[in-house]
Amino acid sequence: MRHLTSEQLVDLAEGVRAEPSMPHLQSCEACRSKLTELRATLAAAGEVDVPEPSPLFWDHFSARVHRAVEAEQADRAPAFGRGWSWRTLPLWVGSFAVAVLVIAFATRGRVHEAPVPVPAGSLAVVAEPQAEVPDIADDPSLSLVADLVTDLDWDAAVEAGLTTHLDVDDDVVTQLSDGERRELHRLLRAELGRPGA
Amino acid sequence: MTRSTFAMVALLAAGAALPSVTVHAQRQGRGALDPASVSAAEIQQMFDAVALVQAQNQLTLADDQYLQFLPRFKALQEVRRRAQREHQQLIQQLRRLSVSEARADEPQLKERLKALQEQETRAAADIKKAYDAVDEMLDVRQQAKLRVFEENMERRKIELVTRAQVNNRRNLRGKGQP
Repeated sequence: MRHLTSEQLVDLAEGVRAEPSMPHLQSCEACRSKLTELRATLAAAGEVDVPEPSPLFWDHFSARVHRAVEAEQADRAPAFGRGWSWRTLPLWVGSFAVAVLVIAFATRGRVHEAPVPVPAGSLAVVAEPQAEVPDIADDPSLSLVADLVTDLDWDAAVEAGLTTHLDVDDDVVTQLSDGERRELHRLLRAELGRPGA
Repeated sequence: MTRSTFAMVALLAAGAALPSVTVHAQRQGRGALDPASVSAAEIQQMFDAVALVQAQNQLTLADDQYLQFLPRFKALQEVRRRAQREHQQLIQQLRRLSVSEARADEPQLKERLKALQEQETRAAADIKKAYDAVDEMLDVRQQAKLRVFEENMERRKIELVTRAQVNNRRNLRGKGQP
């Protein structure tokens, strides 16, 4: 018996596909239960209030923008520097708010393979932005978040209240797809052999 | 022998710490390095192995000290993981029960909530005990370094998970899959 994939469940939950198009659903209690849970989560996510970050966050945010502009002039980083100017600051700030929303939904649900990484996870892109960001430029949602968090460090994210409940537990690992696990396995092998480890 | 090499050898000598896939990979060559599938348990084992290998360097443990540290730190990891798993199971049960509106579920909910409280208390005590066993053989500076190291490891794990997701998406796009 082949269970429904995360994508199929999301499509059903969002009404993109009709339930009769998935006959498996009729006979599988586990998939029906997942679907119910997913629908409940989506409904809850629609009602979520995004908390206002602390006032300190915005003070530091401004300082980071200054530093980013200076850094851009010194070293034109491909992901962050491209197209950046003071004229785009309002757009940037607005986009950041969108990203906070996306992140809030992603952390609340954790029910399928989210195309957008979970909040603190997004910081992974921070670690090697020049290696990752250019390759994901054709994915608008992912590149939006990646661009926004490129200059967001861990402390800032904690300050903004974005990372408080995140932990890599069994649940997170279980929800990874086969491909993601294989890739993670490869990265961990490299980590084991990292010089200076 | 470098610290990390020593750590690897010590881990292999300890037997269970390194995931079997890594050991098989060393024996069988490249085919084993790219397994068709990797289980969640293997990933968690690898996370633990990375932490164990890096701990010697990060905490500046001498080789003989590391040999004592290894089983204790591994025990701490296992206690913590078991507690996490039990906690998740109980939360999962609460989720199922709380979705239902039936009043008949209330006694069950109360009972499960009590079980959750007991599990949290028990887990905290077990983890403290395991921590104490590790601390016993570390000086104060190393104890402080251990806390920082563990926090950094959690961040690193998150980074690696996210990078795996991004890389996988990129790989799929490279193969023309959505």
